[in-house]
Amino acid sequence: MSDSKEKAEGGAGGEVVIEVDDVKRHYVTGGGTVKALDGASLTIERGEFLAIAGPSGSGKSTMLNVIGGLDVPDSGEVMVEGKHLGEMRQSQLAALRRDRIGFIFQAYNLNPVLTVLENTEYVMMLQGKPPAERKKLAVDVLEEVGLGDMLDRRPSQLSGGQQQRVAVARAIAGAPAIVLADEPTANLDSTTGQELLDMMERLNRERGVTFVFSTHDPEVMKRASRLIRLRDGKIESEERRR
Amino acid sequence: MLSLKLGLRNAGRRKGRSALTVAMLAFGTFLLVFSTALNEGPYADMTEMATGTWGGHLQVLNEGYLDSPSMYEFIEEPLGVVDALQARPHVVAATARLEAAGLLSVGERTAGAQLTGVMPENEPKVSTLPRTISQGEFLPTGEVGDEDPLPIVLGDGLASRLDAKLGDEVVFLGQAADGSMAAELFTLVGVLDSGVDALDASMALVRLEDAQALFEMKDRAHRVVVRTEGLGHVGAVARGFTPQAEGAKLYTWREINPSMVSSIESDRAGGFVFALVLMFMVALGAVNTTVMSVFERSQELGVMKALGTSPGTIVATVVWEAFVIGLLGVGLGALLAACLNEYMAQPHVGLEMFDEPIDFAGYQMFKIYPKNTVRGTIAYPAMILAATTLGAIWPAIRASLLDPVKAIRGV
Repeated sequence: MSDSKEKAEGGAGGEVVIEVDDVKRHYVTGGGTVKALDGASLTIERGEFLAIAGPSGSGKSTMLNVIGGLDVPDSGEVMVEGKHLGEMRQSQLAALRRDRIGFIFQAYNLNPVLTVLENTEYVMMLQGKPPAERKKLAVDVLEEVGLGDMLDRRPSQLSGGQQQRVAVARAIAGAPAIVLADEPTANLDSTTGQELLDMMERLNRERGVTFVFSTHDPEVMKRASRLIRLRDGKIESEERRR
Repeated sequence: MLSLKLGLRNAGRRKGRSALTVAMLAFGTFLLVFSTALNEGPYADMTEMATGTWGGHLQVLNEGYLDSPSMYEFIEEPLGVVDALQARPHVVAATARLEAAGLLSVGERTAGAQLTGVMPENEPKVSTLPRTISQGEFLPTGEVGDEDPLPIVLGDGLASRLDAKLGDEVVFLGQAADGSMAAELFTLVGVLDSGVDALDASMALVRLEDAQALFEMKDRAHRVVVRTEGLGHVGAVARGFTPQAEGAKLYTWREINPSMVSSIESDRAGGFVFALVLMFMVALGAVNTTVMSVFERSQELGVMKALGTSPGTIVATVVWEAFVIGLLGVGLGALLAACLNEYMAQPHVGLEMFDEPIDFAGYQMFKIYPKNTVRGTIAYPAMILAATTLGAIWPAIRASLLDPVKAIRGV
């Protein structure tokens, strides 16, 4: 418990890796203006296992997108490892995502023309790691997530749970500081979801990777070291779970 | 390379659609290569007829002779020019000719003729005409005794008009260079059938020295005609060669046959317009496939961007895919057409399109023999491939500019 508390307060030493300050992101739609984020502020420390919960349209995915530099806030500031995302060019944001941030999507979003091994190597290929090195790292990660015997399979030959494991492997293989996971268990049955969470908890613990989830899943919320609740684009509550 | 690997895999992803695109490209390229070869074949045949039958690849003429072929526009010491040319690399042989017009008579019949003095030992190496003897033989080489009749060979059209038979006496009447009457009695030793009606109707060949004596033109000739190892060597032979004869100039076959060259060029220009239209249509179809492919994969491309893939890598991935499909289609079409062209180019095959011989720029052809050329079989397909590949750049750039959030959501 004390270990968890130390993480909640600052992870592996209290170093802030993500800082979201008074961020607003409004979308104009046919039905009017949607305030996806409306002055939300948040600080995440290295090594946290943090869940962002809330009803649909509360701004969870938008929060992950602005942290990942995929979406640009209308106002406010986002800093990742001390870098102001608003001051970075698109190419610098792409490099930041490639080198420091891993992504896990609800629909897995593996590349269908690449094998399990190649999907896992993908980010490392972008990073320019030598083939032998990236293959070894990818094989190690895939063995870690229990897919060491499926290296040459294509995503279409895998179950949903297996595909999401590959997505996790892809997200962490490039040694990111942060993994942003958008409802990673939403498409999985509860048993598979639990197994995936076990795995991500272990990776968080053993590799010290900061995990930030958006979720509806009570199981994810239960396991999170800290739970942030969003409503109407604002942070409604913050709860340290461990 | 990541983009190449993805491009290759994506090309094989929608097999049905890729196969259709490949088939469309192959068909278009096949049409283009085959139709171009159908044009280039006759061009090559005409060029061969013009150069091989009589004209040669290069000619040395007095500068005024090309525009105004007068007896007095001659070359001095032509045999020196012949020797100099034969000493150059890539020259098969050279021969001198002396030309003059006059009247030929056999018995009661008389006809106008172009009397040409040729070198019987060199002429067969320069032109194919001596090989087209249909009756008798070509002019003899070596000395002819003072008492022996002087030999003459006639084109079959001219022989027919004169009703001349082998062994008949043929009288020539014309004007010599010194203004005197040039008259000589020849004996018909051969009749030739070159296949070029215009030649056969007026051609009369005698030995160069006989013609020089007849026209009082000792050590003079009007042309030195050169055969090289091929049309590709013409430039090399011509470069840096200056005939050592007063007023003489070297001309290429293109300069000697300007009307034929211009007919070919204008016909080729028309073919190029057709080729451009076909290329545009074929490339447009392929680009459409790329646009569809990018549109369908928006989500996947959005994920690639989210993971940190650079815009350049996304552009390269889409362009490689278009290139791979283009290469397959264009390569297949060009290969099939090239093989068909090679098959049809065989002397016993060819393409007989009409009952009557085809007339082009004064040359008659009974069959068309397609010819593979660098332009038709390599350059045109390469242009389709380039258009297909370059056409993919626009959808590729659009793909690289996708908003990853919207793309992943499928908005």
